[in-house]
Amino acid sequence: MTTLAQKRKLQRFWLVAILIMSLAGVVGLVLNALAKKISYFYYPSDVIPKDRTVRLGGLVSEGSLIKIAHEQSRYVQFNIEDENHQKIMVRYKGLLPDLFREGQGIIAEGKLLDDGVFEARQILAKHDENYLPLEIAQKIKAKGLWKVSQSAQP
Amino acid sequence: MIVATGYLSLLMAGFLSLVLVLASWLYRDQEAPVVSCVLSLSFTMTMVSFLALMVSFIRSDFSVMAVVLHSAITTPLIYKISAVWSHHEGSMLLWLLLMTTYNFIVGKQKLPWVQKRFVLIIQGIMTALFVAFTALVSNPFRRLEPVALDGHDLNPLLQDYSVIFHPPILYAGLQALSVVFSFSLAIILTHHHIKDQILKAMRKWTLASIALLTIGIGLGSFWAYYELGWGGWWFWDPVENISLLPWLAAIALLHTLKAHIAQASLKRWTLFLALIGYVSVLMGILLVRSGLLISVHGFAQDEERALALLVLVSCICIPAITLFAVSFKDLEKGRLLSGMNQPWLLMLQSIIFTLAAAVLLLGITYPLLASVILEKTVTVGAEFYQATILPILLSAIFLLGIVPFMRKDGMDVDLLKRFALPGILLVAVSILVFLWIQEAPFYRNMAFLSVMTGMWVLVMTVMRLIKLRAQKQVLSHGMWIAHCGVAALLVCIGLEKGWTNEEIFALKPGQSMLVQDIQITLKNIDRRAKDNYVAETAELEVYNKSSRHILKPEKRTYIPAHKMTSESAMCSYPWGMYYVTMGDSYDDGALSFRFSFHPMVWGIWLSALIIALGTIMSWVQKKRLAKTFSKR
Repeated sequence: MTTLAQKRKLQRFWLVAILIMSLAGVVGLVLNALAKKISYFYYPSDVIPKDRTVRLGGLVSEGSLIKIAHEQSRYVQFNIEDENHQKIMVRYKGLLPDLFREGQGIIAEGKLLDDGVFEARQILAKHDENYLPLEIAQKIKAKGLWKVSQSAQP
Repeated sequence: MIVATGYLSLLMAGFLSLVLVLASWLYRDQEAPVVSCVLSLSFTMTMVSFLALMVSFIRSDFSVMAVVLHSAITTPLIYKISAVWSHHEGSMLLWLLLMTTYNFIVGKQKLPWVQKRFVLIIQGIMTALFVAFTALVSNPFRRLEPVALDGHDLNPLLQDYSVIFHPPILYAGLQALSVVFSFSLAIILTHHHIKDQILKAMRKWTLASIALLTIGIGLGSFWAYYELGWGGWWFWDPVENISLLPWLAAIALLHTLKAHIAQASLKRWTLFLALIGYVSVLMGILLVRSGLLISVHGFAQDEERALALLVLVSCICIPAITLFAVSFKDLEKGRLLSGMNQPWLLMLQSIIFTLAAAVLLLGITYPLLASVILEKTVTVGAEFYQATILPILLSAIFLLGIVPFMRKDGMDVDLLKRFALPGILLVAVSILVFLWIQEAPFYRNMAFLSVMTGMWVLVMTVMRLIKLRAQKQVLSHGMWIAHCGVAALLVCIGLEKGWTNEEIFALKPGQSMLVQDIQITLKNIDRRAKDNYVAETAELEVYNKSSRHILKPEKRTYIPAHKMTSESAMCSYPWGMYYVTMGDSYDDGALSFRFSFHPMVWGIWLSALIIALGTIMSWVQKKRLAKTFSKR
């Protein structure tokens, strides 16, 4: 005849066993995913690895956006630059987001090709509640009326 | 005048919450009339404050900063109203309004005063803290000097019907967890035997929270799908993921509560989960509103606000968790689980859901950790979650298929035998097909697994439902319906994620092209001025042999905001949706389009509705459930 305390012990054993097993499984999954399934973020001045999908962030250089229309392929091309004025050319076949503008901060997700062109599979621009054009925001700031929030900064 | 009234009533509401704390503290033995009086007064005060802000928005009072930043003279009335809660400061006011409303409802509930007293004290303290935060750091009634002539308009992306309801419903669901949190703390503080009354009240609040969260998150995802124009309905963005944390915690809690009510087991685990629900809500508030996370949506960043939020959240979370840890040993132990029965399954489910929530939290905060510890900027995106959260949740949902055979005292062997054949068949077919498509990309394999797991649960549950009907047993139909909803959700998600097709192309007016057996013709482009924007609309004819659809994607330029948005166009076909977004024009006059087919995508939101419906039904059935318990 097992006592209540023994039963409780047995049950705690099973509970702990199940917990450890599922925890081990989950930790395995997570470590594997952390090693393989996350993407790193770079600025144009960084050394960017060529073999994996990364995110490239910076400002779209003024006057650099070109739309190229051949009969067979159409794509857009522009430069991303950072504070060191280092530039990388980005090529993108999809639709640019509505917030995309020259001089605006964006993030491009894709791969760096051997010819030094970054082929993006996705372009991200941030949308938040304060989406004022920078000039207007600066004017308000100059009057000391409003603390400008940063938008589109990675 | 109105603005001053609004601010003053906000402060009054804070003061009244302190009075509530004091009154509940002083009246130890019996509920005094003053308590309910204070509760209704503080509710009225926040209501007045909320309405004052709304009136300022409707009247376009540009002496108020929030109105200038989020509204304009030309903004349509409905969006002037929704602008009240579409920005940080105003949404805090909505948050407070919900908080005092819930306090008021708790005041009306019939509960033992020993514990109700503590619930009200804790709610009062939290309300006062939130009032202090709103009034001091994010005052919605902040004045602008000199008065502006016109405002900057509400973010055009938010000028949409589904975003009118998304925040209030989501907040209502999140806030309901605060009551559950207070209940749990009250139980811990009083060391009393937990009365059924309290547990049933907790269950009600949890059910309400799950139903509201499901609808709220569903609406948000629906909005993202058709308003952002990216063609997806979930982007694994940190801000989106955070909304899942309380949802997962609430579902885990609901299931342990069931074990608790039915068998008096899993007591301490239930109390812990009840705390964790609201702790995750507060953590979400901190992470989303402080700008700590890199997200495509969310609120603007502000350091002062971040610090204040950190203080606010720690003021609530740290004492709660410490209290739980300190009194853990003294808490009443749950009754033993015996054998392979329902409570075992419920416990397993809640453990898996909690683990899923933990992994989600890790994914959300990993970029933050990596930037501090590794000094690297990383992004944790869809691929990470597909490889972690999905398998974890799939295993939990697979267990749902066993639920129909489970009784409180063990396996229902008769039923198991009857269901065995279709079950084994289904599993065998899935394994065979899975081996056959092994070469497919990872995401498609996962999608296939999701579909099959969903089908497994659906078949088992529906068979059980039919049997229930035949036997004229009506035992918690709500639960079965919610489970069917979860299974259907999984099937639809799998189909959509695995077999969505996307094409990008450009067309000149009059030109047409063939995309996967579908003929698409650009008929016409039209420019037109509306209220506060100019619209450029393309007219696309989609001809797929059996039917002809006209799709009208649009690009809008909002005048006061100087901003462009795209309005995607979509139409349903029997098994899914066509979705088209208009892009930029090329120099040769061609317009670019993104055209996609999303199989079963509408099923995702339909399933969310079914889950919510099932949850609401469980709530309504509470009485019947109580009867079966008393019979036992």
